[in-house]
Amino acid sequence: MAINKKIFDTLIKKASESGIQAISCSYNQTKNQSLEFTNAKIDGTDISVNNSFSFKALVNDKIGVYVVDFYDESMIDDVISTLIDLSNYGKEGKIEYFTKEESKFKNLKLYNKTVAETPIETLKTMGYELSNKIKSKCQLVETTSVSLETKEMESLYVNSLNTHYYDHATESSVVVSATFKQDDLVKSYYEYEQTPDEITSINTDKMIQSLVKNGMDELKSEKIKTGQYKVILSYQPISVILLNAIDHLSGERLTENTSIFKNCFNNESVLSKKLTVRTDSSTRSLTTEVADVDHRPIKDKQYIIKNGVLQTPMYDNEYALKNNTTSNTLVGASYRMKEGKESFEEAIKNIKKGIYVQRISGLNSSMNPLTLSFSCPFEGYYIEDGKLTHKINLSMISGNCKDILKNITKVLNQTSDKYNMFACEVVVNKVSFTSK
Amino acid sequence: MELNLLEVKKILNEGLKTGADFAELFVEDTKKSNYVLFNKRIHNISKVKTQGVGIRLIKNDSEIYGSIASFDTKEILKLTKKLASNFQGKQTFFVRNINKEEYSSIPSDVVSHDSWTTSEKLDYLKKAEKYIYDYSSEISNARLVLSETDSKIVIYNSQGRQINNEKISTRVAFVAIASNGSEFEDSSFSPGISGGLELLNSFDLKTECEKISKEAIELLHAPYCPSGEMTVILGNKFGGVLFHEACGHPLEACSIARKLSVFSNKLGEKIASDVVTAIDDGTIESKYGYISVDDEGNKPTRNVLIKNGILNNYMIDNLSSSMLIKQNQGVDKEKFAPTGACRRESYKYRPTTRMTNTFIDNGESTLEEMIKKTKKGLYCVSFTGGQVDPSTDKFNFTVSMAYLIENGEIKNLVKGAGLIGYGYEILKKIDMVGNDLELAPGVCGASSGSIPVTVGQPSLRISSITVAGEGN
Repeated sequence: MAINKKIFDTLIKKASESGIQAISCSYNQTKNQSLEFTNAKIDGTDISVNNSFSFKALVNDKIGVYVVDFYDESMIDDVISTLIDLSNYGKEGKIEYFTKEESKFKNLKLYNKTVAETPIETLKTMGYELSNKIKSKCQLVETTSVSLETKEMESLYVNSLNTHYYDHATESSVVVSATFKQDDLVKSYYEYEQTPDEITSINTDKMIQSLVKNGMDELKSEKIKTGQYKVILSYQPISVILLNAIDHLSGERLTENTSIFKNCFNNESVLSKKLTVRTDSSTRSLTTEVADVDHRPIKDKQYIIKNGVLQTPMYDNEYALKNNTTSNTLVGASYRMKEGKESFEEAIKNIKKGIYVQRISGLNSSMNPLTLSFSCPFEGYYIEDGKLTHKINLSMISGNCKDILKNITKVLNQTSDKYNMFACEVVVNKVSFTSK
Repeated sequence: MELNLLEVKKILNEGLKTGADFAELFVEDTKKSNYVLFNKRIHNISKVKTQGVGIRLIKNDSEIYGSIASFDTKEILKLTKKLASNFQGKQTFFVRNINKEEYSSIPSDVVSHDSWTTSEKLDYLKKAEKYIYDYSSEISNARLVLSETDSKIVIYNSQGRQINNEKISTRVAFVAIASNGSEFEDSSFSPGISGGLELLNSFDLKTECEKISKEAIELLHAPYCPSGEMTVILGNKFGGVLFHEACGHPLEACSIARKLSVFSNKLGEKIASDVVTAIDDGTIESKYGYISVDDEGNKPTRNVLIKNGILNNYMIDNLSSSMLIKQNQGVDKEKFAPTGACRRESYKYRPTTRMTNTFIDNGESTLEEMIKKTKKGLYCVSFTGGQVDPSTDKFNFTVSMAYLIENGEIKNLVKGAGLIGYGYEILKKIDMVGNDLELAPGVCGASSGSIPVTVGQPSLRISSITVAGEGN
């Protein structure tokens, strides 16, 4: 991509002449191609190049932000006058200045891979093969869907304090799904995998194997009794629950009195002592952030939660200013849970009656973001005498993120970064379930 | 905004060069403004411009889509060439003439977004904020949002049509948050219209702000909802989100034509109880889901989806229409005609079948009768949202505020209820439909992005549904 910081030179110069104290410009370009197959037929192909330019100006110590899809020098006057107008009503803030040490941050995620340039023919061949394989693996497969996507994101950040960085990330993903039909019963399942590498590096055989097994098990799913159970939460549910809870550690929520962790930074274990979480931007996933919300490099290996003790509120520039402190660059970071010692096999062995929650769905629409209480459907297995026995039909899991994190009794020893953080499966005592 | 017609013809013909039977350019220039007050401060004022072009080519029901953030016809042509290279064949359709059509969903008496200054808009929000805080000392926060969208769309297609469309929408969201120091609850009021700032004069600001403040405080002191199988009365207005999730999405022809919906091949069959008549109607002017023309140039219709329990029609876009007609060997072409229901969030999204203003029509019962005839159940009055898997019709949605019913009488308020079930089962379990139909705005997210819609229904009773909750 022809990203060149010179495209902002004239704007930065003119902004300074117009009374703008400082200005930052960020430019993101996302290239993606995706193919969708339904029943082994190409349904849709998308090839897109999307741009986003975000301008932030400081005028009279107040911030104005303006976002546009495309920008060239003919828009300079519009950008400057809009920013000045918006900053009249804006919040107090500042434009970031990176130290010499922080400037190492430049090119942190520059990869040579050309994932987004994967030939479309490769995707076509892969899609047909996957669709046919799913169908051939199981006679009860009624419909198949395959979705393949390659993405590349490049961004440039430049500001009038002579700071800039360039960021480049890639991602390939595969989604396979199917409906399974037996008599009048129809069930569906999907599998999703992503990698920062070429799409062909994804182990699709393993995905299909899991899709078919889970789909068949869904057909044999049974109800459970409404009540409280010991559970093992898999990577997706624990990631979603933990990320929602981490959001309540933000300086914004704590300052605005909308955090469930208000008055909880007291060196006591507010959450389970088994739970330790720190920042980690080492993954090359597209969703892993290397910069915080203010474009500052995230400090790696900073503890957020240590043995259940909340370590520090997470301050961005705005809320650091409001609290007379400095940004600790934790807002918008990526996180890692500290692994435990026990394996999944060892953990399940000790559960007489319980539930293995593979995925929860619709949490965002069903959770109260203020209280972090939720009731939503899930996919999972019933556990009896240390073994997975059957899938569970039409049931809901209810609880509160804080309570669940408080009641973790074990963190297991495997890590996955599939769901926006490095997460480990966990064992939790007493979670409520409702069934028909 | 309009592109040079000679260039447009060149691009469309380039798209058709490898045998596509349809080519389309969707040119968009949208301006969005958001004004947010939170915790007695201006939290955010933002302006976002969405500008670019979406290119769609279709050949034998296979669709190729590309988008580019540029109005530069050279760049658009380059992308079109790349897209067309995915088809193999010779050009059989040619674009020679293009005729312009004008559409607008802007009301004649619109109060435009630029008729108020930023200060006036902020003063309005501050007034609402004061009403909320003044209601009680238990109110800990208030969040007030005004969102404005002004769009200009031009669609050019290989059938020789140029469709110019102007759209405007406005929405406010007032949220009152009550707290006792350690716990929080909130309640909100969020009206929206396909129109301008006249929205702000369409309700009594003080009454609505005090209402949500009262509700947030009541919720703070309310116990959690018990769980189990119950008779449930869904209140009118936003109660319609259940139909939207459980039945609306599975009736979108993009799922039907690909046989990915439980309602595929079920036209004419009884899928709901006799008391259920459901409609998708994009023609209701000024409602949030109103469209003067859809995003591929078809006029909206009043589409009766279910009539007295019988599946009468689907919501259909052009591509799904063509697929359904082929699947039926060309028989009953009219049955599968497009219904003006093709929509997208922006040029960045491939358009597909979506809902507009979707609701269950009035019945004959009254809310009082429903409550009186319910021995033990739940009366749900406000809702958060939900989702559905169209292939199995399994849905869930969340109730933010509900009352227990015992022996035909409303008892105490409860919070945090979730409803789960299969849409096709629930439709048959609706045994009473009220006569108090009202519509409510919402934002629907699906494969073609987030779009403004309206949901609605009169109060209605479901004889039995699974309710999840943490209470006893």
